[in-house]
Amino acid sequence: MDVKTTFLHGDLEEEIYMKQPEGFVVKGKKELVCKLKKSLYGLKQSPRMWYHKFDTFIRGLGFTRSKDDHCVYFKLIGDRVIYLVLYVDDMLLFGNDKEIIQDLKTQLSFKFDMKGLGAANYILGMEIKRDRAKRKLWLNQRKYVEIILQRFNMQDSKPVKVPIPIGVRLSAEQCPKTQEEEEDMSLVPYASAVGSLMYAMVCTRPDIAHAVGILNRFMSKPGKEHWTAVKRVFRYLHGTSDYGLCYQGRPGLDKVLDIHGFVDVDWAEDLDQRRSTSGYVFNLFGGAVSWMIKKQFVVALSTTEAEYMAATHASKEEVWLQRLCSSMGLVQGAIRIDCDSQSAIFLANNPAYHSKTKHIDVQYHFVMDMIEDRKVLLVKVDTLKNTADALTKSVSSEKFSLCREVMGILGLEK
Amino acid sequence: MYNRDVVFREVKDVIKHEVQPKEPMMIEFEVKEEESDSVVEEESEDEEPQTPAVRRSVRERRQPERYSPSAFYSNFALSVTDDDPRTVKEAMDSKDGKLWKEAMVDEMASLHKNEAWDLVESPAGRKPIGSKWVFKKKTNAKGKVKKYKARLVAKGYSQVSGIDFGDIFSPVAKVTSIKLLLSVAAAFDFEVE
Repeated sequence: MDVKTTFLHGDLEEEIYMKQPEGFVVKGKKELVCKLKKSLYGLKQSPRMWYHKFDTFIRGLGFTRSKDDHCVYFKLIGDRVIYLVLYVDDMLLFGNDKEIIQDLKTQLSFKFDMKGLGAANYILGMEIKRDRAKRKLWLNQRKYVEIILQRFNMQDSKPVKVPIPIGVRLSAEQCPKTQEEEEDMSLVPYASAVGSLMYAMVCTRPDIAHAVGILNRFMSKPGKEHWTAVKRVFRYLHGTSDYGLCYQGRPGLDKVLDIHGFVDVDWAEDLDQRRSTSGYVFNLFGGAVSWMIKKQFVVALSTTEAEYMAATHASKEEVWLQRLCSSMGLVQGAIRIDCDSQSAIFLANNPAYHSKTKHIDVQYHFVMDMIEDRKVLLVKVDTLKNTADALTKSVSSEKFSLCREVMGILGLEK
Repeated sequence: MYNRDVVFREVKDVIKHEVQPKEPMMIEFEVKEEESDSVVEEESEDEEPQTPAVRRSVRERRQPERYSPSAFYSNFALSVTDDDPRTVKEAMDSKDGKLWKEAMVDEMASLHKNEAWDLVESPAGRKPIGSKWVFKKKTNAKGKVKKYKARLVAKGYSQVSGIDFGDIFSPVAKVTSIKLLLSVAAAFDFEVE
């Protein structure tokens, strides 16, 4: 549900004067100006003032704000629990008790003007579908995908099975070299196309994360091959537009979470700087909740080193997830992270120094500390079963669909 | 033998082709005229030994419309082509002028209801910031106009740091938190509203 005329609820701290609005100048008081009391739309501080207002209100109702996400609030009353997530004017309520949800809605409507008070079907453009008997929930962006396909005129393109096929290596070498080539490429909306893909990737589509991560590198000077690769991602989306995340729980597991991570690396994947790419994904109840691919900041001298740095990236996220869960009263033990490099696991588990590892920077030993504190479990997994593989490199279509399934990215059930 | 190594030069060719067809045609035409002038008498004698000219199609050759530069631009032009008025004058002059006016009156009523401002004397040494009306037709899922909406916005870009505003950071929920809670809601069978 969302709040109507959101920003007008915010009280201003600064003195701001505004000319009288066009068409509504008060007769005989032409020379007067408006001294603003509420944060109008367009003012720089409006979102902040609104957040402040809402924060004060909701905490006044006895809600606790999560320290790890300042827009997540919750309240525990015995074994009844209610969560509220705020995204500017949009909010979602979660809870195991209809009555307290209804109570909160009444209070919110009393204070603010609310809209869309029924069961949530949409949040941030993501469609929410449920089968409560099976404890299943689908989250997809098929409307958004259809819109971007049309926007870039790819709605009639031929679908493909993978976003980036094996063998396609993009590099700065393919950037335009002559002025003519550059002018040709200036006609192509590369940045906005990649931006559109990125939003889908961030919300519900970790399956295109690898492709988007690579395409992002050529934003400033894209070449023809890069544009072809962008179009291929659109073609992939065209074939899988109704795909989204699917979460499913088993009855009788209440309160205990089981977050499970995968980490992988593509060593020296970047042809221009020879840096490696880290990728990780964390699953919860059959679907991915957090993922990232990131080009490492330094050149890794060996695959072990690259995997070790990737494990550090993953454990940073892991620590945040764990804290977020426990701050909301959810039980989550040490998170298992699957890694396919035996040597990186040894290195992380045994603080031994070798001539080949003595140069590794202090920050990357974070994962070692986390393992010592028993917050992370780094476990060996067969490369063939490592889901994060599809986040860091191009893989065969069979492997790709397998990884996609493990991340819980499925089509809608007809 | 097949050559599978084909390179499609989409962008470059699109630009060239629009200009090309005209010029070669002109030249061809002139040559023909000259020929017919000078060789007209000999023509009957030489007719036999001459190899018959290859019949060429008289159809004018054109690039398909989808490859023309204009189509290229329109294909990728972002959909900014809404017909919402940009100024108060445009709104009043449009055929929906009455509806836009009602929308503006509604917005003013809402601002007054929320007590958005007081009318005061212009303070010395302070320059009041401007405001602007933004008009937008709200459509439903089928694209039918549902509502005419007018919103008064302040021109925040003329605000001066330290005087008109201080801190402006505002947090929003992380998508990961939203997904985590949705996942929990699915597994524990929570209400989601």
